[in-house]
Amino acid sequence: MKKILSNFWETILAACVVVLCVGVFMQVLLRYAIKVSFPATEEIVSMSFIYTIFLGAAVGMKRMEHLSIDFLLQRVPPGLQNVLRLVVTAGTALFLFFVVREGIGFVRDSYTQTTTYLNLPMSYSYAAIPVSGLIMLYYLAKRTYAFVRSGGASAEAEGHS
Amino acid sequence: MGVLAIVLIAAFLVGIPIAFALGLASLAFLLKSDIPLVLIVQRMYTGVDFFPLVAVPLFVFAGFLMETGGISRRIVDLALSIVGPVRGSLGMGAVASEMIFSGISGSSIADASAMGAILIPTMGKSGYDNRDSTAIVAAATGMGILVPPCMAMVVLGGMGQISIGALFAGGFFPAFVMALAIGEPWLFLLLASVVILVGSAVLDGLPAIIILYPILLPIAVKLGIDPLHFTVVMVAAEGIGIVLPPVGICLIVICGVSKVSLSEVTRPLLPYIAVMFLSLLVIMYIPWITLVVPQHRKRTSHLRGAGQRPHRPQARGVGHPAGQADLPQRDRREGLGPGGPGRPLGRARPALPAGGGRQGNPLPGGHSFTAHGTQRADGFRALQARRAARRHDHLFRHHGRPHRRFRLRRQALCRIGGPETEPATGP
Repeated sequence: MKKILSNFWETILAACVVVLCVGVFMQVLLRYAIKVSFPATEEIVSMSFIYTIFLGAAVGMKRMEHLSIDFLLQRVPPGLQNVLRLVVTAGTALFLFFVVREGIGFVRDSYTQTTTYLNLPMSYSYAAIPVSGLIMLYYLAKRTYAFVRSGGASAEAEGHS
Repeated sequence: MGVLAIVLIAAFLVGIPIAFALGLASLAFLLKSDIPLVLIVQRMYTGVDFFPLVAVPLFVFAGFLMETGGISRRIVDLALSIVGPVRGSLGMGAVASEMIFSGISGSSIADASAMGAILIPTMGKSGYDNRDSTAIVAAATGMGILVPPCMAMVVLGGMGQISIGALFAGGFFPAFVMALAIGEPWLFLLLASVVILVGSAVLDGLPAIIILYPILLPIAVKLGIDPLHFTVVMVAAEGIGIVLPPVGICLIVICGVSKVSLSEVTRPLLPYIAVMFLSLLVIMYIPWITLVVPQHRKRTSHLRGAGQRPHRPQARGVGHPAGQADLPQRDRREGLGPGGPGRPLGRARPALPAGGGRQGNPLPGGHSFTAHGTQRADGFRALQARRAARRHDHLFRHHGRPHRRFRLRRQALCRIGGPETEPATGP
């Protein structure tokens, strides 16, 4: 149980990928075997695809796996490195803040739109963006807190080596 | 546009993750030009709500399944045993196994991590320097993007309304050109000078190609470049881009696997990149390499009838008239007008008479395709004549002027082959 909780987003993400795989596989199979495709399945697949992408981005933030160019970061003295890290965090947070703010408005505005076949509100899939933004902000704040507390001494794992 | 570029470059340099740097730059631009910021969210959504992109995670997933299941290990064994007796076999084996692997998987990133994880330790045991083996695997990955299936081709085929089957077929020979070039050491010396040219060109994988392709394709088509050929060249260029230091994504993945830093791998990688650039030039200037396989496919599928044509997915929101979208690629291209003198690439084709198409008589001057592909027991001479006739029709159709020998045989065929091979007497 504890393991599931600590990997909460990963679990949901995995579920999305499973839905994606099964859905696409079924679509392909049906289209070739009985030459019928169900648009409803396609809507489910595309929604789970959207969630796969944005939850994936959130998990990437949690694990610091977002791709960055650390060319400069590797070549400056440690003091400046810490400053740069804070600048990176601030820049990322700024963007995420706008994403979340605008995303919530976007979801609210599109509440009346529904998908063609399942009649689900479009905002269900639009919601992926602010949700993912919030998760990313949370992990960003968590990491920055740890970073500041340790006085910048912690050699945090880079996004990639 | 100034703000966009400045913020983007600054964000990249400081080390803000690429995704957020792109977002931050557009945010700055939107703020400056007073455009509603909701556009960010909207574009983020529509950017990923593009069904062919599903190929990306699924191909990566397939690649990792293959790695976990042991297929990759067996592919390496197979490739090594094929090129075993040749000198320098391990490097070539790496290239060969990369070709086989990307022939099954479609994701360069999955290729990079799967093949890198197996090949680099193996090569290390045989005395390869870690940096050299990283460079070889990286170069091979860049080449492997052309081996079908490939997710860049799926995505671009969806965007450009090109048959994905034909793209896969077209990528095949160019991949071999690249593979041979990487395996051929003397070429790097010859072309080390090109490296400087390449070094400045920084491409960045699928996103870059998605952004640039829709802008470039119409221009290419207008210039008379075959869209199929153009797309394959684009993918080949992407193949080089993804292993180009310092931002090539596959290079970064492979470096992560082999624990070699980017700056260490750059030097041994440069010759390979030079060679790949040369192969890119070759592919670029000889469209035949790309087009020979799809054309053959199309020719036969054309004759076999409509049911055999490759599946073409209908990309959304692209308003092709239904009838036109149903025609094979070649016929649509001919709709662009006859090849004039201003065609830099691709061949100029003779203008077809109006109404010429799949249903009508496709060749001017009363020529028609022969009904080859069927087995008939009327002797070797007739077979030979039919073959020559086929060649004649091909040359006539694509180059406008067949060899005299084939013309004579074409006439001979009409005497031997019976009434159904008689040239049609015009529409």
